[in-house]
Amino acid sequence: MFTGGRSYVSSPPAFSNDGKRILVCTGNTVSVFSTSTALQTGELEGHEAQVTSVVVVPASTPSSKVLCNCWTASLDGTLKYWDFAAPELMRTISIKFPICSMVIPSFLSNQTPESNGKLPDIYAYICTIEVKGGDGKPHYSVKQIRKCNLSKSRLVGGVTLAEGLEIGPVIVSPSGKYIGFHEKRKLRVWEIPASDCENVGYRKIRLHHTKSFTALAFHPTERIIAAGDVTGRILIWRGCGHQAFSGNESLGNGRSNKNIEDRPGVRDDDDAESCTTWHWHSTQVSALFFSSDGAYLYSGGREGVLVVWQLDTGKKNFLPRIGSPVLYYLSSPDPSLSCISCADNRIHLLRMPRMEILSSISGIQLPCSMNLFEGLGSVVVINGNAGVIAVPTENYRVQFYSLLDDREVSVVQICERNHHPADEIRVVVNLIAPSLDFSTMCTVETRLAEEGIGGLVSLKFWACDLQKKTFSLSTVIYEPHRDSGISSIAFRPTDCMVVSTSCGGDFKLWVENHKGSIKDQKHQNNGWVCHAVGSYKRKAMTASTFSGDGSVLVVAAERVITLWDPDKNMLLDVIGDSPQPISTLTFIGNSDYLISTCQGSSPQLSVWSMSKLRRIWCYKLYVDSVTCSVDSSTFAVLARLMPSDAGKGVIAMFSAENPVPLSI
Amino acid sequence: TDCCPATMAETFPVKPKLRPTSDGTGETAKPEAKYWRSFRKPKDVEAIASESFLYPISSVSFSPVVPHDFAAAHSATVTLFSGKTLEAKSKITDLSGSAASAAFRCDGKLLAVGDSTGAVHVFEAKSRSHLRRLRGHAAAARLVCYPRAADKLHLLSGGDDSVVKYWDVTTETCLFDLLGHKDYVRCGDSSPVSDEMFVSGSYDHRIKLWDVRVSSSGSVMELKHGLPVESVIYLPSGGLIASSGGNVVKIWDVIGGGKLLHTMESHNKTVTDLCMGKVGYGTSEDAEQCRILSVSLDGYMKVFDFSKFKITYSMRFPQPLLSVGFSPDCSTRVIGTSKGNLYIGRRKKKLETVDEGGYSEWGAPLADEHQRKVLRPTHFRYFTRGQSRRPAERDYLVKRPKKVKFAKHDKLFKKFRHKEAFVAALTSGDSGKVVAVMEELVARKKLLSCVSNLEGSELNLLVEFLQKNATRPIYAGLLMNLALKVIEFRVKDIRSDQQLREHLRNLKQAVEEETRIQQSLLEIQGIVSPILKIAAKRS
Repeated sequence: MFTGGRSYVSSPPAFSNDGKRILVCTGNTVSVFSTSTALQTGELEGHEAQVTSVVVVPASTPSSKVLCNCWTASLDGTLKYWDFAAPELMRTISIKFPICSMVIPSFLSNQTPESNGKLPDIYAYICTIEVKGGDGKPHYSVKQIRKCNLSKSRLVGGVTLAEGLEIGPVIVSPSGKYIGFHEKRKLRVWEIPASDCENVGYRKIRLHHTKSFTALAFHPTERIIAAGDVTGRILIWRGCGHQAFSGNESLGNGRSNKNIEDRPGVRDDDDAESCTTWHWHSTQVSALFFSSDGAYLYSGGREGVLVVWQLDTGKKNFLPRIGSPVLYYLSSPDPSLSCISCADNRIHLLRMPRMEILSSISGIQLPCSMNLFEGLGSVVVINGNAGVIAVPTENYRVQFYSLLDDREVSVVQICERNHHPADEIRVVVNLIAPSLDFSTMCTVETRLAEEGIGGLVSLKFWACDLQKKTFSLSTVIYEPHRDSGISSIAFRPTDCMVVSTSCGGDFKLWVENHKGSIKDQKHQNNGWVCHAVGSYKRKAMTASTFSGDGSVLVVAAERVITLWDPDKNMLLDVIGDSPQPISTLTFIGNSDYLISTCQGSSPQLSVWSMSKLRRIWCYKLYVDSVTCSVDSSTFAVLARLMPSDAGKGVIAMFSAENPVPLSI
Repeated sequence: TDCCPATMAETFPVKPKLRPTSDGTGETAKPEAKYWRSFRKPKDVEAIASESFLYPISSVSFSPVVPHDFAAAHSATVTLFSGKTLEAKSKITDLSGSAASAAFRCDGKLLAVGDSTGAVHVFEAKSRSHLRRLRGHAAAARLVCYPRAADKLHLLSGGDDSVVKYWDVTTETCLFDLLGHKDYVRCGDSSPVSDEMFVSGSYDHRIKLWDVRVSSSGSVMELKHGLPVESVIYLPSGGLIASSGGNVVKIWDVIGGGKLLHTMESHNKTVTDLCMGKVGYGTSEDAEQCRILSVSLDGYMKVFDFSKFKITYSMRFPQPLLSVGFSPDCSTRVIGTSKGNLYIGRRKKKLETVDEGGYSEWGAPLADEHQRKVLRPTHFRYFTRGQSRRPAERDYLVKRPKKVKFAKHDKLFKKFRHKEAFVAALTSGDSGKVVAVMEELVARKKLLSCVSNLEGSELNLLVEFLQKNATRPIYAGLLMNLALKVIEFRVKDIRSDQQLREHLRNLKQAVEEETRIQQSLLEIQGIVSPILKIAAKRS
């Protein structure tokens, strides 16, 4: 069994010490990518649940820069120590609680060996999830910040820094002196003592705000904390913990001289000297990061724009049109390289001072928010031969993703628009049909009308350049079926013919038109033209397919199945009577068996014989999708027994002749 | 994945929807269309006042010698224009009737004018002094024509008395009458290769070829055009003639015994005049190709390539066209209309750059090669060396990425200033662009908020645009709905503004008109569809 197409952006990635590799949490594993080629070089396998954080052991001396060790934490409740150059698992610490984030501050502060030459113990601060409740009370999970002694492989007993329901990821300051997290409308920050040991007192502060925080960052050298909130504001506290962290307990009376004028913008009794607010983002700030010298602050949000703030002046610089919400920003030890992780499952590597995108590591862009609109489902198409799947993405593109290599092959921009991730989706690429040999592709995009104005459906035909493997637009047809949308498109297996069916009650056959056979004629003169139009009793056409040999076109007209001769455009026969409008039609390989499914209140899966023109058998199954093997007469369905339970599905294999499933 | 970073930060300008273009424009037609389009009203001549006359311009004729002055005959006057400045130089008014035709002698010194009384007057072109009066025609002399080659003594004229006369100009005597036509003789031409060959066309649907050497035996050849002949010309070879009558232009081969080579039927109304034009673009060997220019009462001027029998260009004028002239140096094209307008088109001449010093420069580099100092970084030229080098033919050019030019509305769209982008598009006046911007606004769900935010004058722009374009079929789907929304949203503003009400009234009328058209089209469809069905069944 293959698994692939994992999310690359579930957790922040980490750079190796030399900046030549980037470690990305991908599901249960950590993948190592080269930053120069953006190709995968290795994988750390061993965790049994999702890896939530990865921390690279920094090099304390220049000579140890080649060291490639890292700690990973996972939801399976273990911390593992790896050599990711090998890659090899070196140690495992089990702490029994799922870990959702981890920081190791002592790596960052300068460790001084103790007098006896022994290195001090290394402590990690982890955020664990504990399920509480039971005994009649509803279960709820509580996040706790705990401390773990990595050197001795155990949790430090009795030390729970904080506990809460909505604790954000733990962030450590670049100097290793502070750790903190955001929880609802407050920030909590602890100072880590220079010589950390098991039972040590912590000095801590809290900072408050009127909105929920979404991101937090520490200044590398000064006591400056930046935090972003849901409304897009960035708050910067200077001189945080002026009283609490200033070292001398005796200065406790410093609190007396606080008054509003001295500390502009700071709320009530928060421990900071001043607080300034920057507001550029229109939606929540999800990424915040200080540059290594502390002069700049990087912020990213849902708009898909990376903003660079000059910390002293507040001047801005932008990297616009990333096309997807920015989730994390990270700079590498190499000053000319940094990366941003985007919600569309891509990690962009940036060349730094100029903020150019060097290359991208992209995972599969699964359509997540597509089926918001009734009747505009998204379709994922699989090409069996090459193992390539075509996925429509949110930013008006189609991504070709290789299942066998588990990486992106190419991307085609279907609609020449920029995607503004914060905006509502108004243009949807909703149907894709590649031809059998992938030489041509047909797409349908829909622009939603604004209060009845300006809706547009366009059907586009693309030709593939076989050498470059890129698709170029060949024909655009606006509103192919008047005002009504397109319900399905299908290629004829034998030659260049496409059928498109509309809810408005007709289907059209399109053929590629070669004007003359002269070779030197320009490509533009070849286009797709309508070959024939057909309709059956003005009923909405809901699904269509061609038979394996291309001789019969099958179109579902609401509840009946109509058979047509595609060349002469003649109605051959009408069969069937299903309880609900038919949603999909598929021929089983080259055989004359046809599967139809319908959904709704009385779902049905039926198998028809084209030679006998009657139904052979049927099930009352809520079928999500059907696929057939190319040569044999078997097919598989992904079915749900009840339409309501979305999670539980059954994959059943059937043979066309036999209603008894071969395997489930 | 290399392509992804490049496309990542790209912006896309708002483009109008693609529309199918006509396929007729082949590769060859394009430069030619450009050539004919380049005949523009010259800008350096300011407001030619005499350009429009009151009466129809019956004839336009160019002088065969540089600077190719030309004469336009209208009412009782013949106006002479300077071929250089295109200004009206002088007028000839001492005619006995209205001028019917004008023709220059082969050396351009004399101008013959036929008038409506049948007299033919000969003037000196420069001084306008009246030299001869040839009387003989009983009715208007619509045809005057000098031999084209070298003969300066004779003249051919034809009149509404259906007689063609051959004159000796010096003695004012008619040498002989060429009889044979049975109706008005309206046109004719002299052969470009021979001084003795003439052709004339008449309303009796005939074209007759005359050889004055054998005048006694009548016409040498007779061609039946089939319609009253309005114009007939010799093509440059002298072996072909083109005739126009009715809405057809016919090409005849007179050497091959008067064979009809081609019939061109692309005008909708009577073709009134023909003339020879030349296409001279580039410097290649096929630089000068001859074309027939035809003008018609339907207002079109068409350019016909008689070697390929193809229309290569056509241009519409707002008035019925009567006469056309094309200067022999391909620089000026003059068209006269029935309403007295004269459309003068002049092609911009390229500066003739004859580089006198070119030879010496060519020789110099070879001699200088070894003397030239090796450039050192201390010298300024060291840093600019090689910058002016042109790529050789075989070099592989690494092209700079093309810079996308953004229109004003695109720039505003980039900044999400939707309303300003909308207004910018509206003020630009390109309807395709405006609709594209509207579609983009719909895609951003901002159109209606834009409409409700428009201020008075901007709303006026929008309503004016709607009034002009809402009923155009390609935009109607979007604009009609928008118009309804605009009325719904801004009803108060519209009520209070006089101009807006005016626009809306016009819009209402346009919509009513459109509904009427739709209604009648539906009726026609109702009539036609049963016929089509029957036809389909039979076949």
